[in-house]
Amino acid sequence: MTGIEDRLRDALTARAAGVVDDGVPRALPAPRRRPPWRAPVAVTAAIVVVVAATVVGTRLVPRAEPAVGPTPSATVMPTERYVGPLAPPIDQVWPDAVHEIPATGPGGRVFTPEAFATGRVVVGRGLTRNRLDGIWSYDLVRRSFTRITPLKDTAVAGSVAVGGGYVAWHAYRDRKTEIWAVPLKGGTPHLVATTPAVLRDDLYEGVDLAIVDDMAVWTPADGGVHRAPLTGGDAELMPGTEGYHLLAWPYAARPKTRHQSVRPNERLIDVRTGERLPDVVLPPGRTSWIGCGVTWCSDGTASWRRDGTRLRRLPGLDGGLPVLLSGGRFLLLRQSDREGRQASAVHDLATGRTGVLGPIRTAAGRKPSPTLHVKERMIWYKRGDEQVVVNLNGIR
Amino acid sequence: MKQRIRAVARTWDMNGETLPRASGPPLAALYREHRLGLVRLAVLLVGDPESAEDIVQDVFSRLHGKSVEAPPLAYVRTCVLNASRSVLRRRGVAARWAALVSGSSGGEAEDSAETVALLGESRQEMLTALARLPRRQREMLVLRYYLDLSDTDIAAVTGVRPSTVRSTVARALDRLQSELGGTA
Repeated sequence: MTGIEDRLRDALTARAAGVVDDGVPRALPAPRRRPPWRAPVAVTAAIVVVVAATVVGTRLVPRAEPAVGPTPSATVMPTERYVGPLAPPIDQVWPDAVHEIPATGPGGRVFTPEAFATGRVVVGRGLTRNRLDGIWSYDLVRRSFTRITPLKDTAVAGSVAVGGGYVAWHAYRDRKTEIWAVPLKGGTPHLVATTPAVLRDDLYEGVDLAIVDDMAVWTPADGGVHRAPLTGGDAELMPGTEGYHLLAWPYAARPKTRHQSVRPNERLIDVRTGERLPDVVLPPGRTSWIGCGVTWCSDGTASWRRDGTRLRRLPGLDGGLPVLLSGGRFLLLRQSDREGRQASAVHDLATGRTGVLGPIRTAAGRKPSPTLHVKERMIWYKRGDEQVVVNLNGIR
Repeated sequence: MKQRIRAVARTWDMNGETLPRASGPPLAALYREHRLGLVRLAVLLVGDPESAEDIVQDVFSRLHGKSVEAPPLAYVRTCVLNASRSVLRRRGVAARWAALVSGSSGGEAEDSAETVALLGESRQEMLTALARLPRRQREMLVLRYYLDLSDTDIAAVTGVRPSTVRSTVARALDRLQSELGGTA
């Protein structure tokens, strides 16, 4: 088994695991019925209609008929899928949080957004020939790019974190995780901390990284909330966080999994004080969940507060992604309506509002949705030569 | 059609997999048990979960009324493979038409399917490189490295000889290796 085979197997397995069982039982699809004589029948019907209209219009005396209501069109066969009205486009629901930015930066390099540094500055990667060439920012008001720092292709693993005037990322080298940071205004990257890397089947597992005040805070794949000063220093495991992973500062949860049988994120602690908050409570009629954030839980079809109250049906189905975003406040859903149109949507569990992302896929057109790039506090997708970025932090 | 089902069934039986025969589990049980796995297979072939769901639904809706009550899993996988090819073909036509109309290159990222970006950079890079491979190479790599099928099984599903499977897989891996280099 070669390295490339291992990587391929790992990538395929991870991608396939993105399609999760939402627990909704599905009936065997109905037999496909295709009338074999549809075209001749349609032509005959059209001829009959024309002849009848001609006869009626030219020969027959009109007489009063009782009013007849419109014939209802063929109804869609009921399925277990969510079928309901599609939400309005996201830029109508949260206009202040949705922005359109160029897909390419200076020199024709591709710009892929990573996070919002502020409400008007987007930080992302610059890619030349699909290889990382640096960290860049884009100012929404000035509509201009700025290079924060040049970087080599293998120097960044996973997402980039932004906060406190810094941009931070992690890299894998010699079986160690290196946390790096650079000032947002530009400069030379410096090493913040180094910790042993977590490998599974000899594959690097990465860390979940965030910046809180003047500290880099991260959780490796085996759990525990670590921190180190952004200016550089020793990494320390925050007391009482063993096995927990950072959810949204200052909260960490365990266990990190999407398996409903092991009750993901059931326990929640405040890592600053070590205080353990109440465990998830199931509302009546619910037996499991696929994710819980700081305040909300979801089983893919309904949501409720961690204390089991405010049970609500979701206006769509779990999109098969790890979809609880921004500390668990937002959920990515798939919606479909009776006309067969489908769309991906963001649902705000706190306010109950929903906005559709990207174009709506019609049953006739079969136009696939754009690739959705989902970050912890941002979603982006391409629209023509531009790209649409949704700042989840900007939704109030 | 009946002969084709039997041919695939025989191949599968030799490899010790569960083989639902005429007296085996009905179509509904096959659907219940393997829907998720087939959707995952389709996702790897076409990219987005919506199309993958549609493909599997469509395949099963067409399986009603076949001469065997529940076809073997290998046969259903072949159906999913063929349906995925049809989807990709339709997308290709749509992209070429869009390019013709708009004058843009078209058919790039925005025409790819909805997918997950939380896979990590290394995996995403691998999947991007995989998507650039010719269709047959891509299919065989998915069947080999996701479903762990043997050369004989892949040959049965794709309708080519085992030696062709071996050479295609080797060429595909060489190409991935050259594209991705030694980055880990």
